[in-house]
Amino acid sequence: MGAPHGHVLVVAEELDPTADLVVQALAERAVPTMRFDLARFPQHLDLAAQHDGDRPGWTGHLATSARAVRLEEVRAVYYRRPGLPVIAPEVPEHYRAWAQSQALVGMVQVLGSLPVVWMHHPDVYRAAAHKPGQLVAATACGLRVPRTLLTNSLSRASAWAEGINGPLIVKPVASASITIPGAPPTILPTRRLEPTELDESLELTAHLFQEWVPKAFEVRLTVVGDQMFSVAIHARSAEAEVDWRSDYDALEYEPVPVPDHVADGVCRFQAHYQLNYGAYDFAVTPAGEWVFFECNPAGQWQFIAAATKLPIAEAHASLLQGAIA
Amino acid sequence: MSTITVERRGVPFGARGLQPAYTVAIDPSGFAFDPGRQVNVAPDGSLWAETPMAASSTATNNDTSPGNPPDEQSDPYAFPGDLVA
Repeated sequence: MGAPHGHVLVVAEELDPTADLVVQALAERAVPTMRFDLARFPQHLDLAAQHDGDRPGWTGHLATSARAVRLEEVRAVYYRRPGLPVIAPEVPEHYRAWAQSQALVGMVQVLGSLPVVWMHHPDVYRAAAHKPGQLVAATACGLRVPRTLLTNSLSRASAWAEGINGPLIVKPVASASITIPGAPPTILPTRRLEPTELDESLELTAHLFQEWVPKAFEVRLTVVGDQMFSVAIHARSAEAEVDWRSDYDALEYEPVPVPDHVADGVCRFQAHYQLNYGAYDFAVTPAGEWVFFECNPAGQWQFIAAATKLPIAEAHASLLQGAIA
Repeated sequence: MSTITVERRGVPFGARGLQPAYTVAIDPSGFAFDPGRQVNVAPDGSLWAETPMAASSTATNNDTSPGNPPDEQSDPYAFPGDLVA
């Protein structure tokens, strides 16, 4: 079965309202779209991709029970937190991980090699996702960042803290989950501390400390292509002031303008990592200075769109459609 | 929000202060995936995502579970190579 030219592939779970918003926005633009979850592959999704001996590029066919696309006619890929491939139950247990890796690498590498617009390409995401590298890039791009120490040495941490001469924060260096048996899912928010609280347990692994940045408010800056959606997050509780993810009920949202020099720095950061999306977190000090905390190159935006009615889904559709850069 | 109490011995300094993740309880009887429109819809055909719903920066694809970390820095992305290295 053929497919209209120019499909956008939306690779996401079915139970994903954020992906729903993007699919709806694409439909309103009459952009042909095929949505599927990687978890449907290989049992309910057919892939047949071929590569010639002397011409670069995959061609072929990708089909669900309801839709089919030619790979060479794909317009863009929106890859948003899909599930992992689910292997048929008749595959013996010892072969299941192998089979899953074959399905995963096969599908994602073929789609990832298509010369089309991608949002949240895994390779781009991975290159941009980590805080230590981001601090260097952000500073090189002209953004102010907190003074930071990454260490597993108590003596070095204490000496550095003495130089800071004020409160500190500690936050995870990298993403990693902590699952406590019998406990609900957890997050590890940023924690404010005094230098006197430092102890030997920081020598058990690498730690990332920063100076505490006084905040008038924080900003979640969502960048989609060349569009910026800047929203102040006003924290109305002590927990939310340290990390607004700790207390959503205490938050108020307000669109705010981005200073030109900050917008320029963000554009340079996007270009540095070849990003077409970024969810940036800034503190804005009482003096009005914007301080870069981090960028999540695939961060959530539905909560901002819902609170502010900003057209972030429409911006996604525009970019995937090819209407904006 | 409360802090989860766990034993401190052997716990790295930066791993203290775990909190329950902000999760969103949903009623699956209130909507269904429409394979034609490729979105979740309410019985009246309206877009489920446009109904008032709690939302956060964490796990807003509503499938948080043990082993599927809710931290927004822990997007459950599948990276080719990680599983086969």
